Amino acid sequence: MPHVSVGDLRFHVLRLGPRDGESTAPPAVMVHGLFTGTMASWFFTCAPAVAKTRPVLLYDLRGHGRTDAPADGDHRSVTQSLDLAALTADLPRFHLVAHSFGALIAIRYAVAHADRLASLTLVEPPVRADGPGARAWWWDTAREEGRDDAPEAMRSSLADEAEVGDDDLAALPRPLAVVLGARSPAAGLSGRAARVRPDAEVVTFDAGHAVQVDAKDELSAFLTAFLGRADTAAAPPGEEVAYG
Amino acid sequence: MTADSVLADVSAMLVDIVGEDYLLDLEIGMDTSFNDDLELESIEFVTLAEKLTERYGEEVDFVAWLAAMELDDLIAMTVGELVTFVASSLAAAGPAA
Repeated sequence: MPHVSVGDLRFHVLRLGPRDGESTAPPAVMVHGLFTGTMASWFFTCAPAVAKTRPVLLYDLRGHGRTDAPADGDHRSVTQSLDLAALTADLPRFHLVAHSFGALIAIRYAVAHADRLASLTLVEPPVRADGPGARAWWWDTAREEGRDDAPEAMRSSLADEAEVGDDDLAALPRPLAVVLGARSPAAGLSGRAARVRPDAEVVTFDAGHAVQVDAKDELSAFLTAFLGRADTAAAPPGEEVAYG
Repeated sequence: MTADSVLADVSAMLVDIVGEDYLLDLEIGMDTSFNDDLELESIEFVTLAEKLTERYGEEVDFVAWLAAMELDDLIAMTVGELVTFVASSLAAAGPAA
């Protein structure tokens, strides 16, 4: 079982699809969500389809699956964006696809490293529909779903997550996709995403929060097409580019 | 490689993943369900896939097999279905070099 060390933590990583040299397409890194999430949430859903056309890197977030848990309980998105940076340091420009809290990690990473990304796909990001303000919906949702049994250290490190501002959304690289589940509390984000990022592809599938489970085939097809378009159309942030 | 020897391999991998203690008296056979009988967690199933690739190499394309599978089929999967897939992949690839 392959592991990669970042600092004191051993991360469980898994590479799928074409090997080095067998594909010229930029790789895709797929990041899972918190609590009950592991790399399995992509491995058994969309990752195999994406791996048909490009290398795919999966990993278990700190404290999840077969990756070590941090002794200090730090699960903040900013900290985890540094994990992501370390785990992807040897990759060429890559596509980043991330679900739920993983999408928050991806946002922190992308704001700092927009030039490293060939595209960014946020699936059900924990971003408020009506802009920054009170506690995000996702924590309440996690609680309702009985997932508030997370270790105290994890909970306390998440309690002070900074909201995602319009300036953050504006700083995200393009091509940018925002994927939402129609039956999820996040569905309302579509309006804000379209207003702040009119260039983004905002798509809503008939699904709950776990879009990759509820709409596996639809999301797989979307990712294959979107990443394929981005391969040829991606440009550094700030430059106008026509695609799609 | 026969289905019997693949079954022995897969059984050993599963014992390694979930532990002897957990399996207790359960004997792993072709009808054993990953979900209902073994209560395999999804991340443990990922580990099994990694071990299969380590053991059999590229000839057994587990990921491509998964890509064509519905989640319901995955949840209902038995050890026998996996063993049959591995054995037929190996047979299609011809005698081991």
